[in-house]
Amino acid sequence: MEAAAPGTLRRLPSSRLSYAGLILALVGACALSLWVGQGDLHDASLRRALLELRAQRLLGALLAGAALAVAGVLVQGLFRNPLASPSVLGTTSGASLGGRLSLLGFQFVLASGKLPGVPPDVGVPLGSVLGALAALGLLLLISRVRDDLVVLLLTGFLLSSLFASLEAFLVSLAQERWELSRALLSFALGDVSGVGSRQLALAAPLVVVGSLLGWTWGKPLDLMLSGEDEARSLGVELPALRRWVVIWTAVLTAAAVSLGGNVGFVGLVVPHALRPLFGVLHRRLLPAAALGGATFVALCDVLCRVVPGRSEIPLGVVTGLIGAPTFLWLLLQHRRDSYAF
Amino acid sequence: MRSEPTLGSERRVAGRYGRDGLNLAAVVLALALSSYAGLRGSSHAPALAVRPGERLPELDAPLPLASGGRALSDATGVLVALGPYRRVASASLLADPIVLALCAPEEVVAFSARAPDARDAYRYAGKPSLDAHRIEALLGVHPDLVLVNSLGDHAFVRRLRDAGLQVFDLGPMRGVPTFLSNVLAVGWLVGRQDAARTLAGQFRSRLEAIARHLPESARRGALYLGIHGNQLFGGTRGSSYHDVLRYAGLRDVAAQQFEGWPSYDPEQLLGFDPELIVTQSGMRALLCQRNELGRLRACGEQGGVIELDAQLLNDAGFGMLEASELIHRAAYPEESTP
Repeated sequence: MEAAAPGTLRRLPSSRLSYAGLILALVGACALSLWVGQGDLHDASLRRALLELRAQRLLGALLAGAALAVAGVLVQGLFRNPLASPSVLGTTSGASLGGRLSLLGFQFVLASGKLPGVPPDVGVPLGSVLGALAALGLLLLISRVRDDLVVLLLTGFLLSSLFASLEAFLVSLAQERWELSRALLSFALGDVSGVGSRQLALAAPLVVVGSLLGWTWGKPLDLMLSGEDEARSLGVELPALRRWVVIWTAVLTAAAVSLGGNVGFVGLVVPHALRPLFGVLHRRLLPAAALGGATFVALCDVLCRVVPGRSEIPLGVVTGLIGAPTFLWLLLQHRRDSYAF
Repeated sequence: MRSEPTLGSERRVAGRYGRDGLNLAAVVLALALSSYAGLRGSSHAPALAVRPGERLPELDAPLPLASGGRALSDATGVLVALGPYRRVASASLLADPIVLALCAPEEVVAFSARAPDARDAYRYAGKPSLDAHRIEALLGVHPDLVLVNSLGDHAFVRRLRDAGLQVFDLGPMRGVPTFLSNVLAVGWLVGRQDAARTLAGQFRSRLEAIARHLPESARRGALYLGIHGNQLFGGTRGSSYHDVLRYAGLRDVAAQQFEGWPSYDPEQLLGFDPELIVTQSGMRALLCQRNELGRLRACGEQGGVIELDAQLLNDAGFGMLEASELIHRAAYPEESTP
């Protein structure tokens, strides 16, 4: 029998049924993603190449979606605020800045007539990961001075603003080079259509290890739901919890940005949509978020391909267009149903 | 006063360090795996017969390949074996007219997605027009060579190559010099290098002939300007706009100070105060009706704002010739009057 999760006022549906529904949705999204595309699968000479392309793109969407949704659950649990998104820590902006810096750096290396040591398809993802890690380092360094959730949140916000300003500075520098500013803009719009095997190989360990280790912090995060004092009295090491949840959130967002650039709303909408089905207990919600996030982004990516146009609609645009109204609807629904975090 | 540690607190401390250690090890493992898997076998140096560090020859002289045959180095330094290719897909607006000029119709399997918008779109009719980012659609036309301008985003070129396509990246569009290089490169790739050399030579000669008779001191000062909302964008040294002005017999007043596609503020514009402003059709009113810019010489009696069809002005290919001729005629009307 399902135990009522703390903080919820209504009975949850069977979690087995909910998981089965999610897995079915995921399988459906995968099948759709492999089936839908510009190319013709009936062309025997192309079938293998087309399926390979779609599979890589699908894997990119699945990993990015799972990473963002799991990061969303972790960060919302840490701040005990369902409106928190993984970007509040500043690591998303750091990853984005790192990606853009490497895009610029790559151009300068090429312009100097040398061949870059890192292949072009890995340069930007690698820059994103390094950018997120640098932002994480700064965040941890500053939060050592005063170990407090509010300080952590404000530091994250300030770092986000700082990195956003630096990004704007980079864009202004690139304005004189039309082709480069176009590439920078494209990175900001989010996209998994160009994901290749190297990018997948770079991001997959981060997503898998990040999700698994994030899950191990589920119990302390559950105890945090009753408040910091309560959690401390029940044996939760708050500094360690904060530190590691922040680190795993950063690792996951770094992986997501390295795969798809700026893909918004996933970390906010997916946990929100799943809480009424899975409750607020993190060990149950985190796997569901991974499945739900992966399904959501994979479906959005299919939409990018089927909307008619000269070129595809960027993924970040689709997740935003779907995510924002969905989030608003969920907020109103939860308010009506007296659902609380 | 500090209390003595109890058995419970020792366990907690030990557990904490154990947990910290586990997480730390996991972070290190994830990063190590990620770096190893992402960068493994990442050397993408082409099979060069020349020694590393040796200066690559100009486009006009393809490189010998270690495996035999010859190849051209594209904008990202990747060597592409010379053809002749007979199923060429142009995924670049700039390559469309070059391919049209150098290849037989049956040798072209697709043009770029922007081809239907070209001024001479009828010339591209009957072939699919494809976006370079739509890999599946490109694969569907079975090209043996794909021409692209990666425009700063080199990852997708890599992606096309991973999908098994032979891709030549023409690189950035920076006016006449890069366009001529592109013509020569496509000529080599499709096995019509002589025709390409003739085409490039004639194009350059005709451009140079427009204002050859005008001494530098007699050239009028001009500026290219694009107006979008309340923003003023330029196009100067290293862009097709600059070359168009130069071949039209004008002196680009922004060229000393700026490069590429700068944005100007009204003060800078007033500082340049060029005699002539070259812009797209319909922009004169937008420019000269602005209070702060109405006093520009170009908006007054002695100057002029030359408006040109946006597609022609933005053309960084063969259209540069017609644009230069039209601007020259508008800038020096006394030359055309009998």
